[in-house]
Amino acid sequence: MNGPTARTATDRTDRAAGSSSGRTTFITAMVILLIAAVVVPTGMRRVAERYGKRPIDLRVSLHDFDASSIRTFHYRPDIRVVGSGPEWVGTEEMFTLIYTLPQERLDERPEHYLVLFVTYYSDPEDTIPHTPEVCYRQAGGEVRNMDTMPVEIPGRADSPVTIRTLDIATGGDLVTVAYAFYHNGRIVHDRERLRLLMAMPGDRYTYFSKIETVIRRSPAMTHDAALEHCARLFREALVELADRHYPLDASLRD
Amino acid sequence: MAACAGGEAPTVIPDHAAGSTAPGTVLVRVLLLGAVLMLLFREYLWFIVESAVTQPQNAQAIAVPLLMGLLVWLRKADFIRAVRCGRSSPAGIVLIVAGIMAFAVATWPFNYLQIRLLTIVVISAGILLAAGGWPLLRRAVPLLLLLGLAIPIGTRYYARVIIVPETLTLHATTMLLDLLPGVSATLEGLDIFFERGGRHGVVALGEPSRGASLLLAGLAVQIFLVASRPRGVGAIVAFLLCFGPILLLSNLLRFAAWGVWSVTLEPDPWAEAPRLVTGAASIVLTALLTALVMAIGDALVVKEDAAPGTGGAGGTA
Repeated sequence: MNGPTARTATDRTDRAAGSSSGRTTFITAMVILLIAAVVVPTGMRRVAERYGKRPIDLRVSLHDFDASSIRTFHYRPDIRVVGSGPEWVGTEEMFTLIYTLPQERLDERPEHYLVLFVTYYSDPEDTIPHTPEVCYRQAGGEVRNMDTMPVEIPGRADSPVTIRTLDIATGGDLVTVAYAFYHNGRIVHDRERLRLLMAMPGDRYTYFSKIETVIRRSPAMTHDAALEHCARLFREALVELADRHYPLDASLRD
Repeated sequence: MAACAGGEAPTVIPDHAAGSTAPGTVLVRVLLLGAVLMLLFREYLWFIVESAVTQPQNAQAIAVPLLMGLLVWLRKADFIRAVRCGRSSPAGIVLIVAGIMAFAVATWPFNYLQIRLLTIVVISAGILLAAGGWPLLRRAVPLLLLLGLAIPIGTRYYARVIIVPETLTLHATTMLLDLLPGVSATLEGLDIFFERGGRHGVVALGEPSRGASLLLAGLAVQIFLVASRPRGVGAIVAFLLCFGPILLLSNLLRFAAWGVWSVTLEPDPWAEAPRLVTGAASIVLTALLTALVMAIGDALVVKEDAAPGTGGAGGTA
C-alpha cells in the first residue's frame, strides 16, 4: 500500500470529491439561473408597476405660459422657429418663444435673438431627451465650448443654482446655449445625475422639465454678454414656471 | 501538474487534475447554463439583433457569434487543457448572483438598459467559472470581450466616445479632398461640402457617425486575431497598444475613400454602395494591418525566444 497504489487511490478520492462539488456548483448555478429567468423579468416589471413613481400634471399647461412675464426682453411672436414641435421632442407640453434684446428695433430683422425652449415630461418611462451638446452636433453643429455657470434665482434656498452653458457654431451662426433640468423642485444641470435622481426612492410622483435658453449672436457680442442674456432669460422663465406651472412640492407625495 | 500552473504551453495535455471534470461534461454544462441565460435575456435578444442590423456602431454583433465559434475551434486544445487543469469554482455562483442582482436593480428602481445588457457578460463569466474553474475563465477572456462588444452601445454613449476621433477624421478628410486637383472642400459642422468643376456636393450626406463608423467592428476583428493563437502577455499588451492607431487609420481611409468616390463619381447622395464598399474595405484593411503588425511582432518574439539564455516570453494567453 505504498508508492503508486497509494497515490492512485488518493487521486481517485480527490477526483470524486471534486466531481461531486462540481456537480453541486453546476446544479446550484442552474437552479439560480432558472429561478431568475422565470421570476426576475416579470417580477421586476411588477415591482416597478407597483412601487414605481407616477406621472403628475402641470398646474397650468405650458401652452398658457405668459410670454410677457419675461420683462427684460421683447417677446417676438412674429418670428417662428422651425423643427422644434412636439413631434421632435416627444411631449405635447412644450413651447418655443422668441425674444429680442431691448435695444433691437421691432420693425427690423434683429441682429441677435433669444429662444426660450421649455419641455415638460412626467411619464416615468419617458427617457430624458437629448441635451443640446448632442442635438446640435447631430444637426451638424460644432460644440466649441462647454461649461457651467451659477445663476442667482430670487426666493430659492438653493440659489445660486448651476446651469450648463455651451457655445456652438451651427449653420454659419454662433449660438450660446444655457440649460438645466427642473426635477421635483430641484435644478439639475447634468443628464446622468437627473436619471439617478429620478430613480431614487422618495417622492411618489415625478416630473422633469428642460429649460433651455439660446442666443444667436453676432461676433460683436462678447461671450460674457451672451451668457448674461441667457442666464437672465433662464432666471425669469424659471421664476414664472415654478410660481405658476410646475407641480407644488407638497403634491409630489401621497 | 506543472503544465497547469501557467507558463509555457505544454506539449502534452495532462490527464485530469485532481477535482477537474471531463471536458465534454464541462461543455454540456456551459451550454445548458448558457441556454438558461438566453431565457433570462429573452426580451433583449431581438433588440440586440435589430441594433446590429440597423446601427453601424453595433454591426459587429452580427459577426461575434461566428468569431467566438472560430476562436473556440482554433484554441480547442487550450480550452481542453484549461478544463483539465481547473475545477468548478463556487465563485462562479457569486458572479452569477451579482449579475442577476445588477440586472434587477438596473430594471428598477434604476432604469439602465446598457447595464442590464452588460450583465450578460458578468453572468457568462460566472457560468464559465462555475462550470470549468479559473483556468477556463482566463482562457475565455477574449470570448467575453467579444461578447461585450456585441452588446449594443447607445447612440448617445457612442457619440460621446467618438467625438474627438470623429472631429479629427472629418478635418483630415476635408484637407485630403482639398488637395485633389480642381476640388475645393470645406467642413461645416459634420458636413463636408465640395465643389468640382462648378458642381457641388456633400460627402456621406445624412450618415450617422460618418466620421467614426465601424470602430467596434474593427476592434472585434482585432481581438479575434490577437487571441487566435497563444501569445505572451507582453506581446498581447504591445498589440493592444497598436490597435487604436490601426483603427483610426482604417477609419480615416474609409471616409477619405468615400469622399474621393463622392467627388469623382458623384453618386446619388443616398446611394448605399459607397457606404457598404468603404465600410467593408475598412474592416478588411483593419484585419490586414493588424495581421501585419502581429506577424512582425511574432517574428521578433520568436527571435528573442530562440536566442540562448533569454528565458522565454513569460506566460501565454
